[in-house]
Amino acid sequence: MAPNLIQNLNVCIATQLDSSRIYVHWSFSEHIREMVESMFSTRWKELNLAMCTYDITGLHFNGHESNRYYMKSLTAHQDFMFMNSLESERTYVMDIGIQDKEGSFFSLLRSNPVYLMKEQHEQVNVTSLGWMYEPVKVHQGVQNEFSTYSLYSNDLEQVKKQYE
Amino acid sequence: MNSDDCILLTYMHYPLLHVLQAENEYPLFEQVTNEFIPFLDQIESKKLIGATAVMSCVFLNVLNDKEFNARYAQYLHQFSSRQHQKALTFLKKWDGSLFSACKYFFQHDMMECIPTTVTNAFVSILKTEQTLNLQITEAIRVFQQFFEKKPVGFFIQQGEYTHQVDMLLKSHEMRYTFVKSSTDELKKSPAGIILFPYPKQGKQVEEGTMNKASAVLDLKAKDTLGFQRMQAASGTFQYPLDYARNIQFHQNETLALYGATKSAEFVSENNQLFISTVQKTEAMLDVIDFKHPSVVNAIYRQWLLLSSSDWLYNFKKVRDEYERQVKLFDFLCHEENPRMDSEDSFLSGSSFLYPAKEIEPAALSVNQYKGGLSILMLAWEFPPLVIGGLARHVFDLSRALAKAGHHVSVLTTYVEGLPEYERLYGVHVYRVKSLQPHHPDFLTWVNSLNVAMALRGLQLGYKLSFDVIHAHDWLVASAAKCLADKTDRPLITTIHATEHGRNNGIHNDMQQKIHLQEEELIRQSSSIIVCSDYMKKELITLFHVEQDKIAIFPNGIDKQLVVDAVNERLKESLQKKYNFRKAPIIFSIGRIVYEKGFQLFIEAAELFKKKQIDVQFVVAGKGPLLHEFRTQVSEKELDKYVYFIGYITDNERNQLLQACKMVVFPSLYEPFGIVALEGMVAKKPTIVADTGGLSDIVSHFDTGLTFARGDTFELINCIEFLLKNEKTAAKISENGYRKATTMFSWEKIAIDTSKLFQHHICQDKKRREAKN
Repeated sequence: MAPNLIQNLNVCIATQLDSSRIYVHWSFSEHIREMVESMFSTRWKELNLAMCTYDITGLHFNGHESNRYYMKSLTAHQDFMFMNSLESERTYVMDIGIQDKEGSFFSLLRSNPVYLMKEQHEQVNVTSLGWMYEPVKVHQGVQNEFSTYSLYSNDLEQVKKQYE
Repeated sequence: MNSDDCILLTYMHYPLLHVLQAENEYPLFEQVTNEFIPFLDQIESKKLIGATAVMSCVFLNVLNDKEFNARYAQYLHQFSSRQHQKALTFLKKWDGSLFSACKYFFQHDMMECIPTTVTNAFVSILKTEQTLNLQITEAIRVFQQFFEKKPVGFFIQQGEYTHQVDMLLKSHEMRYTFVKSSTDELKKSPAGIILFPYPKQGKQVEEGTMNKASAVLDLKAKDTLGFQRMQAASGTFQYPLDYARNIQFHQNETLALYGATKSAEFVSENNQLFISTVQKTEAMLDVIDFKHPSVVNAIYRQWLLLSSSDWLYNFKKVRDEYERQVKLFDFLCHEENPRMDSEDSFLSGSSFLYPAKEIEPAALSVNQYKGGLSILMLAWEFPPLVIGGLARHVFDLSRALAKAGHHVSVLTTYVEGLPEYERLYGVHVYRVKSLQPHHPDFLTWVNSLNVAMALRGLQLGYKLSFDVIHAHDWLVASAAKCLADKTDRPLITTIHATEHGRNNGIHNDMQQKIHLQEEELIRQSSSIIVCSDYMKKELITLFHVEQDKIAIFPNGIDKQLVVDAVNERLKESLQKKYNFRKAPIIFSIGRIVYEKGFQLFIEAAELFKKKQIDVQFVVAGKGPLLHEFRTQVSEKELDKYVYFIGYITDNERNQLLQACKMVVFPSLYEPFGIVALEGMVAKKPTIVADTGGLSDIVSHFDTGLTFARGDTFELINCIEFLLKNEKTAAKISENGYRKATTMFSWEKIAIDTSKLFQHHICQDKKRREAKN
């Protein structure tokens, strides 16, 4: 029998179950696992895997800023989760990644966004109220220093010293 | 009962698992005898008028299957009861084919027939257009093929209705369907499909497998009517379209019906494997390259089987069988397995499913490349994202290789506003979105980009097979190594510069980490390309690389991209934008980092100002020291002598190359110096620091002028010399132009590069063969 291609896909898929629940499942290929092990110099089993659920209602999500986010630890073998008690009429996206000791999160896979629709058969209000919430800044913006081949300093005196 | 108010909808279900498990068909025969034939009998005798039957492809195949009908007849012969004899008579009357009866009744408007999804899939869990098409479009096509008449309605299991389903039904000119709704009101979807509310509480009849979803859509009447009662009472019902004709629609509430995901409510820890498998196999269909068109039908059929909701009714019991079928799907998808005669193959037992040979692949995207090499390049920057020379190099090399007949794919960073995929000069450019593009930690930012590149590369690998992976610099190291491992193909790396060289040594932890990444990338690469002898020496010194492992291919220059016709309007607008004076322009371009040596211009400008020699330095490019340099210029009151103008377009660069008196590149570290070639191609006298690759390009007093690295006074002397000696300057410019256009051709570099690739591909092939 051929190697298991399906289990070696790198995917994270989320599906609405009802007005407050989302089912999310994921899988990593062997090669991605190996790459990540090498990046973090840690075996996959020992990595602190986590799922970050972002509430991205009304936002053009860029991977950093969300209205709210929830972090949940995962085991190395876990490949699905049921998210319960979520607020309805909000849009969520889930990232599977690694959380370091300082709490910083490194995303590896991202799910499709899921809009949790209320069960009542009412007219859907398409106008989002996302702008009313102050975005929680998970990370800061673009750093000009490393939009290039190395991490450059913008302190001229410090750089000069390297050439002395 | 008021017949004017009712629609009878009966769902003719044939459980797919019968096909697979070859269970005893007796229960099914009994259902046909006790329910289906009496139903058809009443249609025929016109005791039942206006009934609507939902028929899946699987069910139609069963009804039309000669062997099934023969087995059923044989079964009936064993019994002498009135019911069995009546069924036998009915079967004989229709030439032993239950389908013939259905077809006749439908064609003669004695009953309405409508299709449903091919294998009773839950449409709300489907994630791709392709699979939705497979379940709905194929069902309509097969239905039409059987009945030789187009259906006007469509039934969606569980009444799930989404925007995609709406659009799809509209495109097939369907007129009505049934949706879950708590209200009685008839509605129209945004696409104009009539939506019958379904099921109303108490109206659905829970029966056996045969008519699992038989229902009477009793829109106004209060009576409950089941299939069994209907058999006894029979009666007159309305066809859906007839019913809809006299109804006032409530247009405004249509959107609210979207997103009904009743089926997803069934998902639990016990059966979640089903939904995750359906969705993963969908993802698989989305990325797979059908290298063997002969298996396309089999793959689609297998997916249809896997996505059938039948599995869910007793998932625990059928889980082993389901996993076996998943393995078969996997087997069929695997690129090295075109074998169709496997004993495990689902094909042998699937005649019931539907005529497989006639499946029209919905999105058959065979993307096989013939001839030349298939090269996957990874480069963090690619035009129009141009930070340094790397982007220009990869752009020129990739299109020269494409022009030479190779299939070149480039994985690079996504830039807002640009397409994620485009074909540029024959090169397939894939711009990759990092999941965290603004991560504050530099190495994490690089890692995030690499994860995205690796994921995209692996995905591309399903459609394309690569002969070689070509990495450019350490920023793409992790992804390049991952892809080379996955494809088991040689990794060739071009080192454009080193961290040690960029910083004049390794001074901190970050630089050390980058240095180690460079070392690891070089170690894992089959071969290293550098652009100058200077760089080769640097790698040997820093990383102890064997001489033979390093190839030197210089950068090339495409004069067409540099020598634009002078655009007077653009020239004027640049003049206006930066407020340049009439004094001679000394032009330079590059990243505003210390190693490029632009600080020398500020010192030189101070001296020129003192000497009252009127010149103006114009420096284009951006970088971390841009702000600092601008501040210094302002503090020293050199605003009219030095202009740090920031990023400019290629077109603006060309206009400045035309407008300037000379070009100067005062780098402290420069592995090659492609910008010097650009100045030479523009026929401008070129002054360069005597360092790195620049020394190989410019010969002093022949093709340009050189000065000692970091020496401002020597630089000033060179500038003054060119200002005073116009004739010599013109001669130097002409020589420089000739050298740049003859010795640095991308065509030649592409040939040399592909020869190197070819050599390593052959070596690698031998290695793999030896291993096997």
